[in-house]
Parts: sequence; structure tokens; C-alpha cells
Amino acid sequence: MSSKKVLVGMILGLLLVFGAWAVAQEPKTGGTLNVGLHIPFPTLDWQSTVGHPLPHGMVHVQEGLFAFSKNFDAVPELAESFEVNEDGTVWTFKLREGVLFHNGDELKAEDVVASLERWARIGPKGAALKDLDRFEIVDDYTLEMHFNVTVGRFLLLALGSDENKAVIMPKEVAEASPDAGVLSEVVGTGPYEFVEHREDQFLRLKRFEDYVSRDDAPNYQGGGKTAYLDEIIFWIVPEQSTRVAGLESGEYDVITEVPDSDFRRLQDAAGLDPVKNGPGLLLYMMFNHQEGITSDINIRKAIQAAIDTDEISAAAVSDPEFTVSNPSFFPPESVYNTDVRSELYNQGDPEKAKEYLAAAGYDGEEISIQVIATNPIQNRLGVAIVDQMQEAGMNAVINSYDLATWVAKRRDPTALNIYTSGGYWIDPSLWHAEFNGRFPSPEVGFYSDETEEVFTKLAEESEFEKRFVLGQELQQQFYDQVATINLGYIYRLVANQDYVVDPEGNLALGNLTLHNVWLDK
Amino acid sequence: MWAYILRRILAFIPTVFIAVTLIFIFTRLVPGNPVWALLGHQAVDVDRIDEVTRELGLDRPVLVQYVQWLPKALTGDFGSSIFYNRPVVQVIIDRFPVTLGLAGLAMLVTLAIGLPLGVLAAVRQNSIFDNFSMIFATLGVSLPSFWLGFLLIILFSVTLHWFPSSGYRDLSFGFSAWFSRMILPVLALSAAQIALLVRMTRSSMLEVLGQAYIVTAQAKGLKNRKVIYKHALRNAFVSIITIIGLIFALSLGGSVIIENVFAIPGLGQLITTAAIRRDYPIIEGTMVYLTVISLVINLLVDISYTIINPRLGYD
Repeated sequence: MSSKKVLVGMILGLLLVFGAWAVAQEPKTGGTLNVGLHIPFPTLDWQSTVGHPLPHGMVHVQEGLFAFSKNFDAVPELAESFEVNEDGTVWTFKLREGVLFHNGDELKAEDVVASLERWARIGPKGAALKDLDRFEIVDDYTLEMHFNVTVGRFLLLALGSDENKAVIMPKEVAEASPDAGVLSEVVGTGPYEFVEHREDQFLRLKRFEDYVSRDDAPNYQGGGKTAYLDEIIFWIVPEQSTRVAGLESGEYDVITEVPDSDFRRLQDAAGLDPVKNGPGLLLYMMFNHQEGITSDINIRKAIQAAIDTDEISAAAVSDPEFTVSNPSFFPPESVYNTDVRSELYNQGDPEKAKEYLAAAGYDGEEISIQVIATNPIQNRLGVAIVDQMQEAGMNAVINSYDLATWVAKRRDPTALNIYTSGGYWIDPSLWHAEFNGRFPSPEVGFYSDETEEVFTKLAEESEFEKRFVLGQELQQQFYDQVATINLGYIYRLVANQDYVVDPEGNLALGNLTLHNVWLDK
Repeated sequence: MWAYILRRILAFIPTVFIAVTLIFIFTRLVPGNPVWALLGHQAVDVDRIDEVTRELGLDRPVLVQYVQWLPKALTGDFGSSIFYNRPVVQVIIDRFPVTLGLAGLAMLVTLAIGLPLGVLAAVRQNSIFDNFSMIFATLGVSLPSFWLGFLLIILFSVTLHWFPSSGYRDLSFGFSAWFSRMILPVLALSAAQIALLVRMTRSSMLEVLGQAYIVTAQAKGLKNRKVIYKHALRNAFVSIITIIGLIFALSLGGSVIIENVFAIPGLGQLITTAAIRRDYPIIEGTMVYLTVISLVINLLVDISYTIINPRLGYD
């Protein structure tokens, strides 16, 4: 065979392969996507709770003025554009025109005002508008928010965060739903509309045929959205092993909260794709700062010196792929990630810890770490922490409680020494909710004037470079005052059938977001 | 008989009163409250927590809450669920058919397999069949139902693809959708019950088969089948029926585990979720409801004694 024929053959072969790939990547419309979800929806009122399951389902139904981007920054969603006056007290939002609610009504500024007023009143995070003086409706598609103080760009993140989202609903629905947790109608502007919710059983959504998408590129929860699927059904399957079995037997197309110990097995299984989900979840230790032994900074410094984070985060998960040590209090994926005071991180130095204990006059009092009994990660963390504290000469013990008791005990100054928890704080301002002196209760929470000053500046500042420096200052204070201890980052795992096509990589990001996902089967 | 039933029903009242009081006190004494579950427990504004606590009336002393709650509870009004925003009775009525279907089917399977196996094991005492029955019974009692449930899922759903692994469809989805999802939970729930019934039926039957009147009946030349089913089984049934009543009550309790393993939204799952969230009205309402069901089952068992053996009176 001549070299020319070989070349032609190779080109034809490549064209065929490329053609087949192109056909396979051509989005397909239709089908039902079955999700095995780990937790039931206690309510469908997203404005009323920071509860975990709400974003998974309602992100497809309801939208806000802003939404999380792939970088977990806030990007406009229902807002077309925004302006802010020089002193940061008046924010003007221009709405996208022609956006329809699922009931057929067009989105207007009055709907936004009614919805945000409701969120400010009932939302656990509605305090973000506590300094709001008034709304002003300029015209059907323009509104102004007048604040009593300077407000920075963090406002956009507060409005766009999916934790307790400031979703927009028709004015009549917002007004007819005065109580938290109860909506007169589940109506939004999202690409999927609500069909049916059976408590603890399923939530069924269908494509909203009149959805008006943004023109820009898909961007996680923001950007252009296409509803390729006819239906999405979230089946509630709380038991982890049952959920995984349901994926393996083909009943579910996507499942959430897969144990990392299943990662390798699912990776080797035919037709299944396990997906590592970020951003990194910070495991951290919180103290009773007001009363008892941990209110002494030398004791906290002793614990900080004793902790070997590599060992602890390795104990927390089964697969090393799912953990990373990083000194920052902002995840490795955050633009605010910084190594300030990294010398105080991951010390694993029992001798130095003993010096701090001596300075504190420690004489063997019990130091308890409270964990949630049903949370295996917390239990493994607790065992590793206790082990390291004991090695440094501390009389550390674990107290294991059910979740509701754990929540109650961590507010109780006489019961709490230390608790562990997890979360991600993409933006430094988000930490204010934890370190405002009132969380988990005023009797145990951390407060310092210096830290409060940084938080105030962060709330007022919009320029990234300046906010980055403030983030570094905040981290420095966290380390110097041992407000909390970073125990390392872990990643979550979701898994799907390989015919679930997710070109934007949404399944690897935060909460389940199935915009632009289709079924290739 | 009616006087006896009336007497027993009147005796329910103090029992239910004590039950509701204990349930109320214990649920309130356990630390934690439903507010965290309503709002979420991550960094929620403290003022909002206090506000919702006040709205729910949980800031009042427990005794005050009890005094306000008791008169309504005794009339069957447990208020509204904190999470479902509907009357507790309505939530229970929605969930009860699910659990009843599961427990009822498990009971049917238990009776259909356990009774004949127990009788045959007794009749053929020390045979290979008897030994196998006892091995099965020992295994059935020993295996934890949740573990058996997972084994069944792995075998019949993941490997053989015969049945769905989990979930529930009511009859509006069609009989086969409902039935196919009940098979594995029913098997997991009934395994221990079958084992218990086999053992109890066998021992009761052996006791009766050793009685003089059975030997007499056989000596008179009565057919073996008649001796076993008419004379022996009927007399053995008095103790067997006690076990059947117990098994039904156990299957309602066992549904708590099985419903969670198989994601079935019945009373068992309702109680678990309510306990985690501290949805007090649901916990209280469901527990009282189950207490009343257990009392009714006990009453029915007692009545059935005299139907099976009329020589037993109502005193």
C-alpha cells in the first residue's frame, strides 16, 4: 500500500471518529432523569431555610437576581445589569425583560421587591438586608435598593448564594405566603417547573417550555440554561447503601452523597461515572470562647500546636483522593485562598503544645469534643483529634450525640468545649455568620473588635485586590486568636450513569445543577 | 363478650393517658428542638432562631406546653406537624396504608410459610425436614433485618435485576409497580417473623401431640390429617395466636428499620425523620397511634382465644 493511500485512510478514519464523537456530543432532548437524593425536602420554600436539600431541587425551578458561577462568584441571573452609586448606598438593578414565571406572568420589579421583602423577613440569611432603608421601583424593569450604610459587592453574593437563596416569585405568591416554610404556590422562572411533591418520597419537575434563557454561556447555576430533559424526578433515598445499589441496578441516573470508599469500585464498574465534587469542604474545630477551659487562649494554642492535619484529614476519609491539606480558611478553589500564617498550620508538635499547657496552668481537666453520632466523618475526626491531644498531655474525650442534641449542646456554655463541623466559605465575608459573637449562641461564640472591623471593611469594599488583603488579615486573626482550627479539606462524591452527559461539569460543582445536562441513550 | 370488650376499651383510657404523658415528657426532655431543622443548622442568625422558637411556643415552660396540649391530645388532636404544615392525623392517615401494606403482606407471607413449616416440623420431629426447618429458624432469628435487606438488594436488584432496589409507588402507579417494590422489603421483614412462628408452632404442636387425647384419637383409628389439623393444631393455636399478635406488633416496629433501608415513606420512616427533626407533634401523634394499635391487637388476640377454644371464658 502506498504511503498516499495510508495517509488518505488515516484522514478518513480520523474523520469518522471525529464525526461519531460529534454525533455523540450533539445534545438530545427528552427523557426522564431519575435522581437518588440523600435527604428529603422538609419544605419547598427555599427562602425559609438553609437546609441542604433545597438547592438540589429548587435551583431548577426558581431563580434570583444573581446566581453562583463556576468560580462561586455571583453572576447576574434575572438581573440584566446593576449599578452602584459612589458611596455604595444605592444599588440599581435592571431586570431582564420578557422573563416569564411558570404561571405565564411576566417578571416585573414589583415581584422582585415583594420577594426580597419576604426573604429579608423570614430568611435565615435575610439579615443581609438589615441595613436596607427602602426599595424604590423606578419602572417595571428597574428597581433601587437604598441602604443606610455603605454596602459592597458582597451584597451580590448574598443575593446569589444557593444556601438560602433570595429567589424571586410572583408578587401575589410572596404576599399570599407570609409564613416561613409554606408557599401558596411553587412558582419560579427556572428552566423546569414544579409538578408534584410527595413528602419524603419524590419531587417531580418538568421542562418549562416557555423558559427564557440568558444569551451568555452556561456558567454553573448562572449563564445560559437549556432544559434538555422532559422530566427530573428526585427520589428520596436516605440510606447510603440503598442509593448506591439503586445506581448500580440502573434505577437512578444520578445519586448524591456517595461514600468515598465506593469511589474506586464505581470507577471500575461498567457504565458508571463517579464524580469528585467540590469545592473543598473545610473541616474545622470550633471552641467555647466564652466559658470553660477553651476560653483560655493558651489552651487553644496548645491544641493548635498538637494538631497534625495530614493525619486527621486522612482519618476523615477512606480514599486519599478526597482530602487535601491547605492552610487557608478559603477553599483551594477560591480566589481568596492564601497561605498567611501557614507556619501555625499542621504543626503536630506535642512538645510545643505542652509549653502552652504549662502557661495555661493546665492540670488535667477534661476537654470534650462533641461529634454527631450518625456522621462517620466527624466520628473519625474526633478519634484522631483526641488521640493527638492526649499525646500532648490533654485529657481529651469524645461526646457523641444525635444531630438535634449536638445542635443544642453546642449552644450551651456549660456543655461545650469543642465541636467539629464542615462547610465552605468561598468569600471571606461569609465567615461573619460564624464569628459575629452570636453564633452558635452569644454565650459561647467568638467575638473580637479587630475581627469585627475586618468584617465591616469587607462588607463595604467592592474592589477585589483590597478584599483579598482583608481576607488575608482575617485569616491571620483566625490563626493568632485561634478562633477556629483548620483540620483540612475533603471532597464529596456524586455518581451517575455514563449516558448522563454533563458538558459543563456541573456535577463536579457544589449542589446538584442539572441545567444543560442531557441523556445520551 | 360485649361487656368484656367494653371493659377492655375503658381500660385503654388510663393506658393511653399514661402513654401520651410519658411520650410528651420524654420528647421534650431530650435536648434539641425543631428550630434548627426548620432553618438549617449552619450559621443561622440567632435572632431568627429565637423568633421561630417563640412562634412555635417552645420558649414556654414544658409544664405550660403540656397543660395546653393534653386536652386536645386526649381527643386525638395532636396539632399540626411543624414540617409538613398539616394536621398530624392527616399525615398519619396518609402514611398508614403504606405501613399497613408492608406489615400486612409480611404477615401473610409469615403465616403462609411459618405455620405449615412449624406443623410439619413437629409432625416429622427429628427428620431431615425438621432439622432444616430449625436451621432456617435459627438463621432467620439471628440475621438482622437491615443486613438481610441489603443482601436481598444486592442479589435481586443489583445482580439479577429482578426487582427494584428501593422506593415506593402507591397503587395509582399500578399494581405491579406497587407489588414489585414490596417484595424485597416484605421478605426482609418477614424472615425473622417466619423463623419465630416456625419455632413457636413446632414447640406448641409437639406439646399437644404428646397429650393423651391425641394418642387416644390415633388409637381410635382417626385419620392422621384429622388428628393433626382438627385436634392438635386447634389446641396448639391458642399459644400460636399469641405469637401471631406479637409478630404483627413487631412487624409494625420492624417497619421502622425496613422502611428506612428501602426508602418506603410509611409510619416507620415518618417516626425516624420526626425524631431526627424533633417534629414533636408527629412523634407524639404517631407513638400514641401505635400504642392504640398495639392495644387493639392485644384485645383482638384475647377475643380470638375464646373463638378458637370456647371453653375459655371472658373472665
